[in-house]
Amino acid sequence: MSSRRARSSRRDPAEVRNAAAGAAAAVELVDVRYRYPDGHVALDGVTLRVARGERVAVLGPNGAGKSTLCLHLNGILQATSGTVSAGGLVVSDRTVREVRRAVGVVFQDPDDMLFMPTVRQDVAFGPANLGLSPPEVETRVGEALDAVGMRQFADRPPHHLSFGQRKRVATAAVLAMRPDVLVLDEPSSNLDPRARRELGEILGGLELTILMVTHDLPYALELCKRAVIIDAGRIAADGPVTELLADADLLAAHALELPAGFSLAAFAQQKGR
Amino acid sequence: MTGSHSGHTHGGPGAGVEEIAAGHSAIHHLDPRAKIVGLIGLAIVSVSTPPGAWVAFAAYLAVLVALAVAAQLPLRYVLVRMTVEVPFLLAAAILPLTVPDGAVLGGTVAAKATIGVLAMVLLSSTTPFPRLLAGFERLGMPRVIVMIVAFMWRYLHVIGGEVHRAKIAREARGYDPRWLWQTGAIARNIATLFVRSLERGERVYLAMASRGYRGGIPAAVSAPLELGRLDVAFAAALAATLACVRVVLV
Repeated sequence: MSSRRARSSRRDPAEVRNAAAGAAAAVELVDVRYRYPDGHVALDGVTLRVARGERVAVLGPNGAGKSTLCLHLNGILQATSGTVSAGGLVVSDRTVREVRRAVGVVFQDPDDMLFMPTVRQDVAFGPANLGLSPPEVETRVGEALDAVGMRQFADRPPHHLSFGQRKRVATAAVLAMRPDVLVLDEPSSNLDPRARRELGEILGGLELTILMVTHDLPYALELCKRAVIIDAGRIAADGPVTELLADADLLAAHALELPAGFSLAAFAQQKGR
Repeated sequence: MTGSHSGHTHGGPGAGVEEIAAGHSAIHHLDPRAKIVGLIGLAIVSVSTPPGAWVAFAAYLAVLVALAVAAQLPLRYVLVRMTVEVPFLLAAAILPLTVPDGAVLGGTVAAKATIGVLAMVLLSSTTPFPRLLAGFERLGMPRVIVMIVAFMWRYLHVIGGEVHRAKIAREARGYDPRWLWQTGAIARNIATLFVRSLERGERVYLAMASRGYRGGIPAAVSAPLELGRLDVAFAAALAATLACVRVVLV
């Protein structure tokens, strides 16, 4: 089976070195299972280690368990069995506060995230929950809005912004907590081409560990070096994104497709890789 | 219904209020607290004025009209916003026919309703909603209430968009109800909307929890306000005028 092959042979060399050195992984899942209250098994033994500074694309068809995985990373959902840890801290009721600071999740729909009357107040929500003083919160808000190029919109209400701008503000709202790991659920969905590119440039410039759940394979290729494919609650493949995307059989087996006419070779040439 | 309505973010009778409230007159720039205290104070003083004190009512109205002019509010806009008081005016119009001394009572009800509504139109049209909320919060309104109103305002816009899209989708498939028994589709839309809003509520909560929410809204998220000399002067001048009118002219 191609998945086994992928799993065993396609480890990123840098990651293997880190693992050997015993450095605490940014995120580590060990045999994580999760069963929803209705009995549906969403994660069926996921083992995944993401080193600090890595950018990993999480690919897979709808219903594969990708969003469930995201919600495990900051303790919104807790594994039925197995362990999830962030920065060496095992997720449990006791550590959940620290984990939520360390792992920031940007949800798919920015309207689910932006609930305050103004952009500034919304971005302040996370750092304020961390118990920072008002001047510190103010600094964080300015920093985060600058990182996504939205400072001039600080006093606007979210419904005056375009979808792409709201997505950037939602990202800032998480960045303001200065997370070690940024988890993005479908970052490019519903964005027009320019907003998609602009968000890509912002994410590409961040010096953070990034986990990005997406269907947008070219986006994964552009922003990540490593990719994992999740299907039916399991890791089906794990390796360099260029190799995974070049494996047409592997993609087809997991309902993934590159856009028609997309050429990996042309992409590599253009990016000078 | 022919789908002629085209506003997609705003719409309905609330159209334009945000635009007008974002204006730049001296009244717009006052601290929201000064306006809240001043204008609600004016409404309360007006309500406490005895029936038939026409000079006093005229004076209150003159103050409000002067403020509306200073705020450069368009006349047509103000009149449209004032239509919410029509039911009160109708009720007032019945009074002369039903009770002794009804003309004076009816006139008083009409005057008080007009003054109260105009004061609130003035307040909401010269203060962007987030600042208005910040003002109420700083004046001691419990933060829970402020947050509930803030949520309502924020998600009315989101849900309003969903309602509008559902309406377009109905019309796109030739739905054009003329009679009450044809409105079943709207009822089903409302049911769907309810379920979707419930689900959204859940996602919003998860997103809040992801950012460290533990059941309290920290004070550091409040919008900053600064009460200047001008703001205090405004409230004081308004209070002095009201006191004079209420005591001397009644």
